[in-house]
Amino acid sequence: MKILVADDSLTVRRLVSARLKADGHDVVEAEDGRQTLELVRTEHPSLLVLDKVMPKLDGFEIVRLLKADPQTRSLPIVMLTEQANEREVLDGLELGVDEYMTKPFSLRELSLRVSQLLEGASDSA
Amino acid sequence: MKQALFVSVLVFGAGVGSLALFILANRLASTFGRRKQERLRPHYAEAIASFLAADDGAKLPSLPDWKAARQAFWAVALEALVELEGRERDRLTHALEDSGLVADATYRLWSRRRRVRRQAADALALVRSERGAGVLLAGLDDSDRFVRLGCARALAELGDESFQRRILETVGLEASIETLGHEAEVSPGLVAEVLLALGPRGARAVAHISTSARSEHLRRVAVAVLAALRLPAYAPLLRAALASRDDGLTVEAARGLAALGDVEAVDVLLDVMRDRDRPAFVAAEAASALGKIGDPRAVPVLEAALRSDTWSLQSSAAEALAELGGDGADALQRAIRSGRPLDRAHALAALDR
Repeated sequence: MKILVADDSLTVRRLVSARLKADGHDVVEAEDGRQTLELVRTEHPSLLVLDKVMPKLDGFEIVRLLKADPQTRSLPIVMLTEQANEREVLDGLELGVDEYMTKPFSLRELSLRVSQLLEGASDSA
Repeated sequence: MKQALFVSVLVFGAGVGSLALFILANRLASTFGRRKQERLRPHYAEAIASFLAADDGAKLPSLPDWKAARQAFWAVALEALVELEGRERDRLTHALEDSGLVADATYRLWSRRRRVRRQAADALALVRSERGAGVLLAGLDDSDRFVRLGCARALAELGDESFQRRILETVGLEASIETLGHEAEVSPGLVAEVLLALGPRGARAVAHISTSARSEHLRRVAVAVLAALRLPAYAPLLRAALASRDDGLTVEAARGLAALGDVEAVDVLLDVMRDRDRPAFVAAEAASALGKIGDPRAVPVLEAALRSDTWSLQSSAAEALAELGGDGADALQRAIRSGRPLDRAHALAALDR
């Protein structure tokens, strides 16, 4: 499965990518919001790991745009955030975020959540 | 005479020239070092990521001895530690200990340069390695306040109860001390970081500051820390802070009591909202707390606040009514039918969330 990892921190991108590659996935990386949208459309990933705070377009805006487009509406999204308050989490879930993970996070937990989401997506397909 | 003057000017010129050359060389070396580090960072980010993604037997690549490489690796490792928790974090910490980088950082705590010692203390707080504990304890007596507080925070992060008394003494907050120390008065933000790192173990000291500190700002910080700790045992203290005439204290206490869902705070929160002398931002925070605590007795006061002429208070009151549901939702429906455009807009926005 191809996964897009979008985060403005090179270190986070590499940490997440290496973990997902070790799980057997293909990984592409984006470092800002616009590049994320571009890569979703050109690379057609099966899942998006998305940082909430990104340059050019923030995570919520990206989710809104992806969910508004019939081509990308069903793309599962795992959002990485700093300490999120309840309102932010609810707003994100309402927008269509599938999973929230608060930084600092566990790579193993992320790996499990990604696997579950991908299984769920393939079951419903 | 002329010759002596000429020689003096020449010597002075040579001195100034050498100094300028020295500064220039230093700057060039520093720029060159920084660029080198920037070039190395992606490589080390990849190395750390691969190490953590591999199984437990994997090892970090051995590091070259040159300074720029070790600094670049250390910077990337610290960034990774900020982002990670769980087993991967522990593995990285142990790998940094084995590579000698933690020892390098503890050694930097002896540097003659204050900035280097401060950075080392901050880094050790991130690493949370017990191997640094001895030097960190010595760092509590450093001549620089920021180094002392940095070391206190790093020790607090270790979670070892035996350090607690020394940490609290260092930040001037040992609960038996009648008058709060210099550190707490002049660096309340840093002290708050130390206390947050101590977690519930430091709560008694925080409670002490929240009532005894001379500095208004420090008392507010203490109440904010106490609120963040979310310990029901300290709800009475937060309620007392809520009733104080210091608006900053009231706001922090309202946040903490809301997080605890403290029903006993409802009467005081209602008093705060009814108090016309309180600024709107205080009433807005009280409204939010009432919504989160979820006591329907708050509905009439929140409905009145929805008709106020302050945007933030109206918005908070509408959201609180929506959170209360039942009678709160009925109040929002009345606002929608009221014909007052702003009341209607806030009510619709709150119900839409």
